[in-house]
Amino acid sequence: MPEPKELSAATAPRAASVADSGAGISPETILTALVGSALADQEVFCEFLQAGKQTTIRYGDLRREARRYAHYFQRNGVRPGEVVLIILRHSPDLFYSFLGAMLAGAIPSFMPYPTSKQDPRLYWSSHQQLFARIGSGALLTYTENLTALRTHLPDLPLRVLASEAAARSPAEFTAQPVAPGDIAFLQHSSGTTGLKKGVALSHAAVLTQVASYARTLQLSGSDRIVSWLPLYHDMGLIACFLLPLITHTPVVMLDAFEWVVNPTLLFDAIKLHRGSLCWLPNFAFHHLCRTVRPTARLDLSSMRAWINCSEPCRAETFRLFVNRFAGAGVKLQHLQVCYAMAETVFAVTQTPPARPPRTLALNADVFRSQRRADFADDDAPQQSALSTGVPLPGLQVRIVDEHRQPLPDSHVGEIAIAGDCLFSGYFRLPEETDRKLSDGWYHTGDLGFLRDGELYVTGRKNDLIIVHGRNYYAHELEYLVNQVPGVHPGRCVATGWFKPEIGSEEIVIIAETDAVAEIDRLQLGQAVKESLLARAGLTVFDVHLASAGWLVKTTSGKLSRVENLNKYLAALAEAQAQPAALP
Amino acid sequence: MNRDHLLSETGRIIRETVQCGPVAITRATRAMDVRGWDSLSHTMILMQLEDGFGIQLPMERVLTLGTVGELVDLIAELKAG
Repeated sequence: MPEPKELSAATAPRAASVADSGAGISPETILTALVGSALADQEVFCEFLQAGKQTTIRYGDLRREARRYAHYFQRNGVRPGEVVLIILRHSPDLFYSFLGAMLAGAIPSFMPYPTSKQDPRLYWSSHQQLFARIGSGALLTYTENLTALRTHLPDLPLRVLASEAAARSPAEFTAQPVAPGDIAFLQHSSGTTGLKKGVALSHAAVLTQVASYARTLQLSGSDRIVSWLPLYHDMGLIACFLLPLITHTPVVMLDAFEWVVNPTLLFDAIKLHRGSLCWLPNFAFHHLCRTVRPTARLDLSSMRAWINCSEPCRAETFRLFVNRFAGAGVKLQHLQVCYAMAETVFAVTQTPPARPPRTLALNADVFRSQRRADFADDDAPQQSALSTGVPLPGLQVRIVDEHRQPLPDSHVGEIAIAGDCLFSGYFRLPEETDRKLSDGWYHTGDLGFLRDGELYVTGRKNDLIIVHGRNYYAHELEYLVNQVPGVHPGRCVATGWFKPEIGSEEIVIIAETDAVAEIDRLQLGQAVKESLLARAGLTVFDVHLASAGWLVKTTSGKLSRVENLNKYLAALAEAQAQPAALP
Repeated sequence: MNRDHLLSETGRIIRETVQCGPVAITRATRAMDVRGWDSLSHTMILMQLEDGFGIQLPMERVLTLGTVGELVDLIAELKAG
């Protein structure tokens, strides 16, 4: 089979070379990591741990199986530039199909696979808007879903392909030209399925990010990444799939569902495989502290960086984690912070390895009233701010006011980012792209300040709620709740409640209804929960059904999320004070 | 301990772990029916059940459970031995 000319290993490194750190070569496109001649087929890419079994995936396996998928996609009419949505369970087929779609010149994108608790009708029909926007291309899933797809999405514009058939295809395909500026894949944001935006990322942007991030992390040939993160999330996709692939850093991968039930699996994998790097959302640090039994025999001494990313990081979380696992070898200087987003491929800033992240004690009054970060006097109320580190080489970060004009250091404003690993745009959403991306600057909607070259993220400009590392917009959830029959249209709020013990936000839905009978209210509450689970993949903390007029409005006549959450919490405290003497 | 007692004790552990207040837990109850019972608190519930009943819940079985009734049946099976 001929090697694709455009992917020849003869291409020179274009960005700062990952090889500088001894971790590997810097290729011209992502695929060169797969088809380049520099790699031995026997080199281990991943140890895949699932259901108590370990499967070793070597680069030779990746090449062969990705080619089978490329053949299968081409034989089924997938054309270069078309999108291939991949909806599969956590399995090695995720790697193979993703890379196979790229080899065929198509644009792959992972989507979360439905759980057994999600209503299939609601799950599939919620994709209608997203599939219509993509327009043409393919959807890869299992044969068992074909009937549900035909039933619930009769006008589906995509070809539906079954992954079982790909495994029987020959490992041959017709090479397609792939240039560095081509879109490599889409990352779909989390939240309401139909409204997900496809963040389009070029090969060049991904390689630039990986080279820059590898240098920042001082990645070396002795590193080993351990992860339980799902691949449809940017942290799993970039830090734990593409970064290992491109830099030849072995990765040990667990199943997210298994990890949540048995968090010690992560520590077992670190001990067994001598893991050195691990990315976790803030809640995961708490989950590990709460659930790993004191009797567990741990050895975490091989770790050099635990990187807290994807939801607001807290200094208290780090203190808790160090106190709990110091005996196993966890040190404060190993706990790091990363500020990341799909629109920059992944990392924007990273705290320097081997020193604890900087924490500032700020004057809380000045911070709130003047939106400025001043150091606190001894007597003044204090507010702490945890650094997310310095921008990666090649990225610029600035803070802007409401007119998008730059603000000086220590002033809080919107975080804007420019540089050579920005996304190409939101797929087929030009207006949304123009709204966020102007003059080469991406406006994040996050709030923060810069001080001594380090970025501190302090909040959000919009109504984003981050639950266990996944992003949800309150107005999108409210839109879904309003569609449930029985809820007064326009009379509901979705609110984020930060719970310190889990280190993350939970979502509480408060909706007004005329339903009075307990059975009717129970059914309505279930319908709201099922809709949010199926259409947004979200389990809410509670659906509180209230009578008409319960919800509080602001002076401008809008429903207040903050005030209604406070009102709900007061009612909840009262309810919890009652004695629990039921069967 | 018969199934009714197991159910009663399981319900108590669930309520105490997720702090959902005085709600009834029946065999038909699903996680979704109980305020605050999500995937994270589920793990805490399993740990409390293991400690309370002196058993070890196998992960592959736990991942397939749908209702409290199925959970109680699994506990009964493990206790029987």
